[in-house]
Amino acid sequence: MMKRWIFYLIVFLQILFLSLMSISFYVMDAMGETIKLETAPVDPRDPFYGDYVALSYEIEQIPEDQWAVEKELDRGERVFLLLESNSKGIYELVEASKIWKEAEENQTVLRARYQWYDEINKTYQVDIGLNRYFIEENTGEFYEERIGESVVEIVIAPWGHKKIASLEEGTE
Amino acid sequence: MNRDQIVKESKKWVEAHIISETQRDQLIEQYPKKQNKPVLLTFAAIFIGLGFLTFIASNWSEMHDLSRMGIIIGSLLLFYLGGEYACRKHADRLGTSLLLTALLIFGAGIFLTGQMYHYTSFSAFPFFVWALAGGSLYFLYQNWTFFIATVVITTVGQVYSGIVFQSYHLWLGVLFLFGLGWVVYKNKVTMASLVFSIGYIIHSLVLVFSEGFPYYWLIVLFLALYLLDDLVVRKGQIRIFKSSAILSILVLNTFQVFFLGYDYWFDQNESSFYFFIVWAVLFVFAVIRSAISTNNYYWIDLILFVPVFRFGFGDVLSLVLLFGYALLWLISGYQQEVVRWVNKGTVAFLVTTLLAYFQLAWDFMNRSLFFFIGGLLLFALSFFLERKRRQFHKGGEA
Repeated sequence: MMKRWIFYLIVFLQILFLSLMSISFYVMDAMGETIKLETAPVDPRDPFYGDYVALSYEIEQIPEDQWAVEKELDRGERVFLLLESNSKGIYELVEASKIWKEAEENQTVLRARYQWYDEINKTYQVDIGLNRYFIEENTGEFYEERIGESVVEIVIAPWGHKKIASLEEGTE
Repeated sequence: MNRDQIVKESKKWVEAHIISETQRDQLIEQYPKKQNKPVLLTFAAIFIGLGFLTFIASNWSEMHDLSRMGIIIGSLLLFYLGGEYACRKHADRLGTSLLLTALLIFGAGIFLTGQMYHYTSFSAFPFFVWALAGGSLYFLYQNWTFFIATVVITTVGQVYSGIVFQSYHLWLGVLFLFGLGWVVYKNKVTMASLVFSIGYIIHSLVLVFSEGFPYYWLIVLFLALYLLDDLVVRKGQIRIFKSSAILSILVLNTFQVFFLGYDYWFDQNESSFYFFIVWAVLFVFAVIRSAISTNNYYWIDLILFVPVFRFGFGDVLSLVLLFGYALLWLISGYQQEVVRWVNKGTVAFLVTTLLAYFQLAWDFMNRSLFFFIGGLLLFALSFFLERKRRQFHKGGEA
């Protein structure tokens, strides 16, 4: 009998795990903080792959003067990006570091992973993990025109999980 | 004779007063009724299952996220509860396969949900959760199916982690080594040891190559496996851990024969101080172990674990190690008259000769001559060894 209850517990935990993955996604809208980021043009030039768009962000390419990391990093190591909102309400990078900086008013901190150092442009490449935006079929053309100068709304949950809320045209 | 025949025949025997009616019943009881395997029913079930599956798969993209979650969680529950019920009613095989299906649904569910909600994973963590589920099933039901499933999940997860994230997932490693290792240690079952040692070797490879350790750390890892053998073996069982460790280190030495000659590999061998400390501890332990063991010949295996990469002619030294290993087993086999050792030595000697030949002659001879002479050489060798072996067998029997 005991064994049966343990079995039910194990099954329940698995269902809980899957449910939490799902629920956290919906709860984010209520609890998360919404910020806007500018996209950067992507390589390859054609960012459209059937059912999703490949995105890259301005803040993912970090010039050396904003790189406040002392030591050599391995690919995949965690870095924290301190962002600040500008006059248009779009968040821009203040600095990238290994330390979680306390964010002031109109600032926020984003977790990212270090990718590589770009020798040509002298920038450090990081990945904030939101490089795919799944879209409905047959809407690719619409996005294709605009990727590279658009603004993405993302939601950051208090527990660090992020998601893309929407994609809109640039304000330029 | 099957039951139907017995029923027919024995009727005549009773009538002819050869046996009594009770004896006839006893005889018939000796031939239990065959379970009619419901082949058609099984197929029907499979087809209906496939029907559901294809229906869901073809409508997957049009479905709302929540109804997809409903399907995943619903089918998970269905299979788990069905499996548990079947196990309780002692339909073990059916129960096990239902539970295993549920475990697979859970794994697939993690990835499907992740994809649905754009989760980006930075590690093999999903595999860890999945392996925990598999491990708990094993501990509840003590069924080897779930043990194997968990070994496969941890190992595949580790390989995935190595290839996609270039890192060794620590928690998966801990779960594999201590969780599953403990199971192997407790039960001392050959099959489990075999599955575990294959997993161990793959884990070792991922650890060393994904984390960018120099390759020679494998020597230590294999030596550890060799030493662990004492813990998981009962008297008279095949020594699985030991054999797989020897096989792995043989392959490693083979690679050394071919690659240690290149500067790239040689340059990798700079900072090996820690390696030598760890290696020395294990090696001394191994020497002591072989010294106090009843069988005084197992020190021969240890030759293979000697690191030679620090020398400029490490490739030649690896060959020397291999030859030493082969010849020593051959000689001890003849001396002690142990057929197994002679066979082991013979195979190792042949393979090593071939390696040496490849290594030394490939660059200098043109191809056809190379194969020609190589063939003749092997021919002569096998002839000589076989003759020696036969003499030995005759001598052994006389």
